[in-house]
Amino acid sequence: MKNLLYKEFRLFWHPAMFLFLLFGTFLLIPSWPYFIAFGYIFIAFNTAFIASRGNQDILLTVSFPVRKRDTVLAKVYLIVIVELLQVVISIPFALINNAIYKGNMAGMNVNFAFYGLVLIMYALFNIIFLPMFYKTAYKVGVPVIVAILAVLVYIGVVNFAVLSIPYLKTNLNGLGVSHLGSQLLVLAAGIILFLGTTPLVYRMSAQKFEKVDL
Amino acid sequence: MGFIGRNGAGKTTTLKAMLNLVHAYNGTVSFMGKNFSENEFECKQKIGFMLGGIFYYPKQKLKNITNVVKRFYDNWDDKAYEGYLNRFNLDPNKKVDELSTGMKVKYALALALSHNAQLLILDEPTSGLDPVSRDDILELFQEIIEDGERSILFSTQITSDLEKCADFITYIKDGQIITSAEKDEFLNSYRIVKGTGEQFTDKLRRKLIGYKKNAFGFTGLVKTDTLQDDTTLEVSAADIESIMIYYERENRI
Repeated sequence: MKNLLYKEFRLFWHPAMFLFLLFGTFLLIPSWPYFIAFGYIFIAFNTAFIASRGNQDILLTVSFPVRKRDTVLAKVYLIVIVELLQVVISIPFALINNAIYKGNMAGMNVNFAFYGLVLIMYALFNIIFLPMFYKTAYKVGVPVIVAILAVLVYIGVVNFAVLSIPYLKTNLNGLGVSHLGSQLLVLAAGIILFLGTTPLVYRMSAQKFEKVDL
Repeated sequence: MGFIGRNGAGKTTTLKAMLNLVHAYNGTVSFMGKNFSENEFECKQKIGFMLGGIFYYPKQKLKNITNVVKRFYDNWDDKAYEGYLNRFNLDPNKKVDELSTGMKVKYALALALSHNAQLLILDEPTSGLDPVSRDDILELFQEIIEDGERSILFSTQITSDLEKCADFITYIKDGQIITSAEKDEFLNSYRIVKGTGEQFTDKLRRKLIGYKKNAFGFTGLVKTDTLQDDTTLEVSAADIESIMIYYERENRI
C-alpha cells in the first residue's frame, strides 16, 4: 500500500494540486457560506481523475503486482488524506476568522460544529463519487456532478437549519466556548461518520471495480 | 511465442484476461504451475507486461516513472536497469512523449527486464516501428530468451517478425485457437496449392481452407495431411501470412 500511495502522490496527484488546499484562506473572507471553501477540493478531484484517465493511470496501476481492489484502496486513501489536509490547513485561518470577525452574516459560524458538518459533507461526497466512478472506472463527470449536487443540497439544508431553527442556532452556531458541549458532539459525530463511512466507500467501490473489464 | 490473429480476433483481450484485467467467461490461467487468480500477487512479480500503443503518463520523465515502478518489485535490480538504459541509449531525464515508438518499447523492456521478469507479455511491441528498429527489437528478444530463463509472449500483425524470431506460434480467430504449435510444425501443416480452372472441382473445394480465384485458375490453402501425394496441383510451402489470409477468407466461400 505504501508503494501505491507513493504512486498516487507522485503521478496521480500532481504536486501543484496541493495549491487547492490554500482555499482554506477563504475563511478570511468576512461573512460567507464557508462550506464552499471546503468544497473547492472537489474540483481538484475532478481534475485529477480526468487527467489520470488521459494518462491511463488505471491500466498502469493494475499492471503492477497488486490486486485490483488495492488500487481502489489507494485512491480512497488519497482522497481521505487530501480532505483531512484541507481541514487541518484551514484551522489557522479559522482561528483568525474567529479572532477578527464577530460572527458570520452569510452562513454558519466557523466553530467546532461547523468542522463536524464539513467532515459529514466530505463523507457524503466520497460515498457518492467513488462508487459511482468505479462502476465504469472511466466516467468522471456525472459522478462528480451528482456528488456535488448532493453536497450543495446538504450545505443548503444545514445552513438553513442552523440559522433558522432557534434551538440549533443556540446550540451549534455559538463562537468561543458558548455551548461547547453540543458543538463537540457534532464534531465527534462528523469524525465518526467520516472515518466510519470510509471502509464502506472502499468496499462499495472495490466491488464495482472488480466487475469492470479494463 | 508469437500470438497472431487479425484485428478484433481477441489477442489483446486474451492477454488482458491472462492478467485478470478482463473477466473470462470460462477457463483458468496458470502461470508456472500455479493458478494465476489465486496467486495474482506472486505471479505478477514475475511478469513484465506492456500493452501496445498505450504509454502511461506521457508527460512524465522516465526517472519519475521508474521511481514509481521499481518500488513494486522485490527483485528490482538498479544496476541492471542502469545497464539497460545505457545500452538502449535512454536518457532518464527525457519525457515519455519525447521517445520514439521504438525507444518506448525499449523503455518498457528495460523496466520488465530490470525486475527480472520471467515472462514478458507484450501486445504488439513491433507495431509502428521502422524495419531497422523492428529488427533491433527482435534481436533483443532473441537475446532475452537465449539463456532459457525467460520467455516472451508477444502478439503481432507483422508475420515476418514471427518468421524471424518465434519458436512457437498461436493463431486465434474470433477468440478460438486455430493452431498452437511449434513454428516449423505450424508451417509444415499447411500447403499452398495452385491449379487451373478445370482442376477446381467441388471435391477439391471442400478440402481448401480458403482460396482465391482468378482468370487463370485458383490458389488456395490446404492442410498438408489432406493433400494426396499424386496430386497434379502445383504445391508450395505456406508462409504465416498466407495461412492467415486464407484462413480469414474461409467464411466467404
